[in-house]
Amino acid sequence: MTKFKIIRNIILAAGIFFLLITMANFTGMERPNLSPGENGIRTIVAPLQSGATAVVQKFKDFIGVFTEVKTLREENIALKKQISELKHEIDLYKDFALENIRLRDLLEYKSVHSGDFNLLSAQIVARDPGNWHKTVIINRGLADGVRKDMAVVTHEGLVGRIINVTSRASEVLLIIDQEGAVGGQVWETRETPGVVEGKGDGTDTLTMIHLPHDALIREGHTIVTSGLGGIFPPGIRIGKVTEVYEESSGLMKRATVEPFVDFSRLEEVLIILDVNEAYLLQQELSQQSEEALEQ
Amino acid sequence: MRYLVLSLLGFFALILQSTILNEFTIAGVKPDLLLIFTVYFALIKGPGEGAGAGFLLGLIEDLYSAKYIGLNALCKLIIGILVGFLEKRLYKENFFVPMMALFVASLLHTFLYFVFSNFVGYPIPIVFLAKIILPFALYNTCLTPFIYGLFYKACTYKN
Repeated sequence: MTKFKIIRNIILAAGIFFLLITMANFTGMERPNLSPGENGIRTIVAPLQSGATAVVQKFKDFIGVFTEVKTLREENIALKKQISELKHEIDLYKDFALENIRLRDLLEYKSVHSGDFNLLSAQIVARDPGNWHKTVIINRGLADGVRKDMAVVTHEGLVGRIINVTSRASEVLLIIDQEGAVGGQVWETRETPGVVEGKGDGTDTLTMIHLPHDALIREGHTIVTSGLGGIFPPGIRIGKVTEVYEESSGLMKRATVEPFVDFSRLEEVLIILDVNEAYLLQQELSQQSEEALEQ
Repeated sequence: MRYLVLSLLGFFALILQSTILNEFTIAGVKPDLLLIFTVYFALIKGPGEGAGAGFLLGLIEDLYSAKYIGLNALCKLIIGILVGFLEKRLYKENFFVPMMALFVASLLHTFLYFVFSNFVGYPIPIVFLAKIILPFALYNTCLTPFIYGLFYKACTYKN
């Protein structure tokens, strides 16, 4: 190779390197809109992924028939017994429920919890193809009313938020991703705001950071969303504190939080399309009353 | 034509990785079929075409993921070139060669991704790297007996 060619190749290599790194820099985790190319790929791939996921599910169900017969039989007997017990209990609870309604009316509670959110159910059709990022693709998109930055939950707790939307599918950034930070607070005390983010070590655990040294937080405390930041409505369950420790600087504390949602088994989620005004008001009032009580 | 087939293969691999392979994670990792294809292709065709394949497959992966576009393209391009240099030097019909090449390439790919992710504002904690690097390389390597034969035949079919 001549000297000229060597120099040319070096310049070419450096050029490609800087071009790609710069492009990667400008196309980080979140952008307002996907480019037509990315949009096209997702639109083509999403139905294929739905199909593949359905096949996997069918196969798992099929295998399950053979492996689970014995356990199912035992479970059946146990369940039948449980049903009769529960029926009895349900009758009791019905009485309680009626009583509850009466008391509610008495106290003039205006909002009922089930009306807090306008929810849309969605199925997970794919996960991130690589090993680094914690995102999932769900089978709802613009056509279903899904928009960027909507919160995603399950009945267990917070899952994440929408970061990209195409017409029939959306991408959810899970809270266990190191980029998926959420404003959180301790539910028991209704204070101690901090930021909950993925630990980033490949596990599904979370860390609550920026906690003041004298923060009231203990093992076993429940962490809920604080509503700060505006993306997540306040009061959604995130996880349980399993460990509290000091940061190396000694000025701040950190807490390890085990999420309520089992991310390895996530199959169906709910998207919060809309938050009822009454819910926000109720959250605010309860916060204020807690603070008033303390004073 | 060759690159068109490779692109389709890339799409197919992405769909597998985002769906079915989630059921086959070992030690928290799943294999990177696009990397595997890059390494095989480079080993059979040399550095020039290896670089092209790596760039193409990496870019498809980046465009699909829609984040940090260029990161995988860059990592796989480098892998394609480096593995491609082995093309003339090694007897690639031997099964052991692609396995070793893939093992080393997987280690290097993970390391490159780790390093470059720092440049683009997504610093990956070193504990994550330590946890993932070896299982990832071993998993990829173990797939060689199932894929390489077919891939080699397909690539050398016309010759």
